[in-house]
Amino acid sequence: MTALQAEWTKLRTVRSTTWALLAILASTVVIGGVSASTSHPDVVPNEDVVMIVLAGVYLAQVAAVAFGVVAICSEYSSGTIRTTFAANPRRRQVVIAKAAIVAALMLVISAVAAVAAFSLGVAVLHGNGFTSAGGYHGLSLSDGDALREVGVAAVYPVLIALLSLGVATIVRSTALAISAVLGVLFVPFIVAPLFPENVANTIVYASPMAGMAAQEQGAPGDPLTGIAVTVAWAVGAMAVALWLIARRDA
Amino acid sequence: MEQAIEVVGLTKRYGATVAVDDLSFTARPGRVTGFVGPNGAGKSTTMRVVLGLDAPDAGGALVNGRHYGKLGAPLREIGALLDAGALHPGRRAHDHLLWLAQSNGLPRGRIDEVLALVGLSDVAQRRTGGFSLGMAQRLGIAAALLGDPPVLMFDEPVNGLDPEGVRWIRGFLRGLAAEGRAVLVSSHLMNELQGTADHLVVIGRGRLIADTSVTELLRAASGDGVTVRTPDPGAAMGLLAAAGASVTSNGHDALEIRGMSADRIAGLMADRGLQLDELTPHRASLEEAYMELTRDAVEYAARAS
Repeated sequence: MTALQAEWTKLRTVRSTTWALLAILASTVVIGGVSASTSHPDVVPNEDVVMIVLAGVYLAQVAAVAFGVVAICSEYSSGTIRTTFAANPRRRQVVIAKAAIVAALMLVISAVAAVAAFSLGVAVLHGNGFTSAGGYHGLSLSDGDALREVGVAAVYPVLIALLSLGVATIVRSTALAISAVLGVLFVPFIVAPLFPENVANTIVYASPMAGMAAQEQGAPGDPLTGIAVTVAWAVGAMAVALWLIARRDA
Repeated sequence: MEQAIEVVGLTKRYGATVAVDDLSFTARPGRVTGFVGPNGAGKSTTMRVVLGLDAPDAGGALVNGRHYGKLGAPLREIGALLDAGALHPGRRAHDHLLWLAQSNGLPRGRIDEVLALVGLSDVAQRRTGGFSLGMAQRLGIAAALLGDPPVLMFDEPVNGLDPEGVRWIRGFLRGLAAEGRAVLVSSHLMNELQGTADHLVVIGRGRLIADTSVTELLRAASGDGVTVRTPDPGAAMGLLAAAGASVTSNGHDALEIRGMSADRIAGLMADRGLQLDELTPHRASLEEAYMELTRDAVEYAARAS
């Protein structure tokens, strides 16, 4: 409990937290709005309109990466990590508390962002002629697919932040951690088209971004399997981080 | 169990480098123990092991009789300042102490108390990025005092401070020891500890060179001697050497006498009817005594590098 309190105070008393969370909120909502306003039924034959309004999550995850990395790397770069581990020698407890606070904050912000982007985006889409009468579904959260996709948009950035926190704890350098996580996120999408379709799909659905990629209707991956892959990446990174943290000199 | 830092047979290696080599000493309550050695002697490494930050290769350290990792609320047992610069520049001084207090379940009211103790109350709401080294040093000391611990440990606390800051810290350390706390303070300059430390642990190349009181070290130092000037140095030399002193000629009419007190020299010369133009006893400074002790360690380091 004391560890959670301390980690919460640390996060809320630095400005980078506010900036990262605002960036997540802004990019999710603004990109979603822009993406909705440029979509018209004649140019977007896909009946799944939800991913149009949630397109901002792809950009917001970059801020989630920065947030997760800075949560621990600011301690390594300033040297406060030694103060932290001297104040609480149970290092795993410290890292788990940090992960819990990062996850809770991210969940609140990305849930607000996803719902806001959805509400705003759907209103814009309506104006552009996407209506239930026109055969488009998913224009309300009472639709099962829409609810799932908005739910994933709220949870996915949390998982990416945890993956980033884990990698950052392993490499202990802001620049290295951000490059590593962005690489693991985006490189598969860049190289996949160079391969035959079945190989390309395997590459994409094995990457941490599978959670988002599998949500679109008509995507080859199963939505739940996709999010499970992202969970596995986050859990894997955190597990290695927790294993290392107790064994290394601080 | 006695409130103290005990280092027992500590060995720490970084790759092929032996940073600390079978080091043992104790910092006891009620006194300031100076932890002295040239840069790179292993002082900071030892302190990191005491705080459980670095794992020893052999031996270890106990704080109040227990391993650091077994302490429930470490800040109530030992307060430490290893690196004053280890602050998040964007966080306010008060908030830095807040998360520390929360991590050990310490009362919030203690934050304002320690800020007042170190004279930082007015800047409590300032971000630490704008702090001078002296202010950061004071904030680090405030953090060390948060849990009102019986044991305190400071790594080079006066390094880089202005004379006023140095005087303040010295007085502060003396005050903490006078309250019965065990205070371990490191320095690479012996004269920084003159007048502050009661006891000295001197290390070089990771090894214990001396574990002694300040008075003891000064007495043992061969720097103690007497300068004698006389019109007939030859006769005086023979006389004093025969009486057991170690005598060296120091220029034309001056002699350096070691191992004999000034009044005995004066007595012997008067008995023989030798004229005495000058008789000046001089004491070795702590710095000289230390240089003598660590000469081997430093020479080795110079050759090796």
